Amino acid sequence: MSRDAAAARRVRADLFEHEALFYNGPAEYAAGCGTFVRDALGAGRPVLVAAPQPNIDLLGSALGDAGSQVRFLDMTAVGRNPGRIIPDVLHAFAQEHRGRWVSIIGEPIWPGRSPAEYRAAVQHESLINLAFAGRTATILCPYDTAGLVAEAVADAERTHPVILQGGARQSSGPYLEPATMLSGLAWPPPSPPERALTLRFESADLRPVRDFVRRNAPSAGLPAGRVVDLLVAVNEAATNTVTHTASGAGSIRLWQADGGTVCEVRDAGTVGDLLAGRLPPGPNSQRGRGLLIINQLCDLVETWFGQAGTVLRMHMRT
Amino acid sequence: MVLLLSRARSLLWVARTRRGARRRASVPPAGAAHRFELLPAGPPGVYRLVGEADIAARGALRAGLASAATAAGTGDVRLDLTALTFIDVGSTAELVGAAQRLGDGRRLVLDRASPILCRIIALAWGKPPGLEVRPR
Repeated sequence: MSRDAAAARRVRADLFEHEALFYNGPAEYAAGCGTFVRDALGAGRPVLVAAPQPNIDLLGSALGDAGSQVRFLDMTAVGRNPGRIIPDVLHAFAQEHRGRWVSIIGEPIWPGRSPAEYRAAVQHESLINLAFAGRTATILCPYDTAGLVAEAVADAERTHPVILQGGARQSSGPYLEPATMLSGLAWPPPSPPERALTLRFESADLRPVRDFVRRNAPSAGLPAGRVVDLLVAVNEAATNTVTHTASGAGSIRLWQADGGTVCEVRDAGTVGDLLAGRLPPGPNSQRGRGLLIINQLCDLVETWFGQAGTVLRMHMRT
Repeated sequence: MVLLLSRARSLLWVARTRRGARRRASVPPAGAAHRFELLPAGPPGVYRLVGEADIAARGALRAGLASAATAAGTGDVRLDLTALTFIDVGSTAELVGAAQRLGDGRRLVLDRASPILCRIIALAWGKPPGLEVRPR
């Protein structure tokens, strides 16, 4: 981005609205989301609702005929991997309606998310503020205060500048800028299990890295048909290490976990662009697609950005 | 000589593995068979990609594509990918960029592209101009 574009983005940063709706029970959900959708339709805005299917059904019946003007997506499918939500769902919808103000209900966090998915979803919520800064969009994120633990509600206050509750709208005191929020998320990551296989790599010739994945992924529970997905993903992560760290060295760990195979790439680098992999690069850009592809090929990607380094943990469900 | 070097490397590998942690995985040294090459396939404008195209092969791929585009004159460039055993996203970007640079209605044709390559192109670029992808 040029200096001018960056400055323009800062000046216009207040255009974007990112609000959390704290609701307790179906009636509050239908009322809060229903009002949001009807107001947006009344203003002639394109509306997208990406939420778990039961909530789509609930909102759909509350909206009646007006629901036919709304795009609905089951977030448990399109947002199972939270790393795909900005590029595939939010940004894609905004691009489709370029030049217009879009209104989106995005519900990426629901009771029953695994701890790893939850953490990635919190990062995603925080990064929305960065990805949409200065853009003409309103994103409302419903949080089930009855079903979610108190920690999830507290995180929502840190990732949303504005909170809606019981019909009242107020700015969120605990809100944190994405860079602060993300650096505050727990470091170090939980240790890989003792049984994890390890490989250190230290040259741009990544053939040993790929040989390691090809040879060991099947015995870590990955079906033959998915080895190539992990192979490409791990190679991209290692390529980032080679490209973006001073030493070009990193390590890979691979293990079988409940319900799948996990592979992490760890290096001493720090991530410069927090939005890497969240927004598609321009058609002529030769860079920035690696993380985007990793998120498409893996079922979940956990990231830890710390002063001490970067960890990318890629999960393949089996 | 090459054989001797390769044997020495294998022995070193064994030594390293023995010294390494108990849990350390067995990984063979990278074999010469995987080295990336862009080779003329016979007919003018037709080339074969062989081996694994990763960041270490990026320069060779870029230079090879540029000379192939020049050598093909005003015609299409065809790449036979049968023997390409791996290609990363950055190398795929080189193919997309080379196709775009051909211009004047010329095409870069990828013959026998692997399913994962087709998927990466579709995910990251959709239908890039000048590139024709023929799946395996």
